[in-house]
Amino acid sequence: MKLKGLLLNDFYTLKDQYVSYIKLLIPCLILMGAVNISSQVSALSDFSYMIVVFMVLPMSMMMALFTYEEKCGYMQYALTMPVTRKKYVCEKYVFYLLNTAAVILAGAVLIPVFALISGHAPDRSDLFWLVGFSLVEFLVSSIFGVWVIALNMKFSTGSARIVLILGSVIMMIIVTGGTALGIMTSADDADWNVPAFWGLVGFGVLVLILTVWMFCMSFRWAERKEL
Amino acid sequence: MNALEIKNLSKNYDRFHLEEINLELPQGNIMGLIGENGAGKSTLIKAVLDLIQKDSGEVYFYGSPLDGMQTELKEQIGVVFDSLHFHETLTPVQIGSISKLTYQNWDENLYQEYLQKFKLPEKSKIKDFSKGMKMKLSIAAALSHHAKLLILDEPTAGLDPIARDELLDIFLDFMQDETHSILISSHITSDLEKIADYITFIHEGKILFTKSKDELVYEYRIARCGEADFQELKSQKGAVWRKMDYQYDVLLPDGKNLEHRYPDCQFDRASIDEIMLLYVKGERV
Repeated sequence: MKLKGLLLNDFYTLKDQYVSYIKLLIPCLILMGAVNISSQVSALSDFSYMIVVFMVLPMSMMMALFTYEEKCGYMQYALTMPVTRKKYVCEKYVFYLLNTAAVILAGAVLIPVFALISGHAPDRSDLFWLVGFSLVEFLVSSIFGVWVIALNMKFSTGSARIVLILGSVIMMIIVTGGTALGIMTSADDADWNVPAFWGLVGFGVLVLILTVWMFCMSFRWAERKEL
Repeated sequence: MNALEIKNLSKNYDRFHLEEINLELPQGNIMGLIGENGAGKSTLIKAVLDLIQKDSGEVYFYGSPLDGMQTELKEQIGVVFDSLHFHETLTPVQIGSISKLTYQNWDENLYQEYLQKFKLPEKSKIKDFSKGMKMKLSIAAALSHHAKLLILDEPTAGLDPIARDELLDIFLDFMQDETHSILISSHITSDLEKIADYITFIHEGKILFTKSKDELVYEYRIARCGEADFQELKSQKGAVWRKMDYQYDVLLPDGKNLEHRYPDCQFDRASIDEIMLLYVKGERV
């Protein structure tokens, strides 16, 4: 019951944002379908950029939500209602997951529709690829979501944003640097795909461990957050 | 039973310390919390509501500690801050919907009554509201879940006298039920003189006194006197004084009974403002 109240507040807070994003994304989808540059590769290739946007959008919206809440001091008021800090954090995760699922689902529906409208009906393999990629998007977006929520429990919104950017840059450096190192140090005829694969797997495991740790710590940070 | 009881509450920051706060708000009473800017009023209220971590001490609402009974106790507490803490694009109707899903005892009919009584447009966004309207909306939300204890942190700050008077009437209506209580912090001591039963004065993180308002208003006197009378008066119990240009102003807790003994002194009733000023800027034995 109480989670519903908090969820409703978050939805109302971001309502205008949803409308703004729809007004922005629909013309982008139309434009991409109209431009139709790489139609010979796949019906959905023109929309590959948008697919990534749909993955990042929930994180961006969550940061906006925390910014609005910090500006109006909502958490301070919310905790005077019959809501514990633990429930407050839980609600943020639930809202993020629901929001992410809705955004990715919308993307998974809109993209083939716009591909169809632009005259390039996606075939079965395109749709399988889209579903698979949507699931990966959901997983990656969820990981980002944990970081966004956990860091906002630990820091102010501004500081959380800086830490997120720094963390993303470090990750990119690790992935890019690791790949470059693998290429440079391997023998000319060596197949570096296998070590690169295992490198990425190892990196993924580290990221997952970090994410689980941040998820657990987010509740402790929320308990200690001073308002 | 005490609606609110604070025992040995302390909170330390780098440059400010809330020290060993002890306070009791009896049920059915209004307690005004006064103090200069930075005295610790808001810090105390936040510590009571568990919005900041206490370093030590305990807080009891109706005999029960907040820890471990948070949600049940918070159903009975209505809180109003000096500003509305919802996003500016929300409307009163949406705030009602959110509160309805959060409070078990939410009374939608009562909320609608308050919205009509305060003439608040239901479907207008909060960003279009004046400060007075936002405060009235806060109060409507705080009163509509049948709270027994209201905690108000500077609710009348920035309001014009008419709006303040309206809000004070609302608080007095709330107190018609003798099981209700209010803790109100305010700089506007004239408001507290109108409605408070008790006054607690907090200064630099410490409570200087908790007295009934009647005692402050009817028993306390300020004696404006010359050097000779001052030398006698300053030794009175609880006397606080300040040297002015041509006289001494001496605050006397038992001033009412001393008036006849010092005919050369002018004895005036002390307003809460004057009491605050003398305690902060005055000297004592």
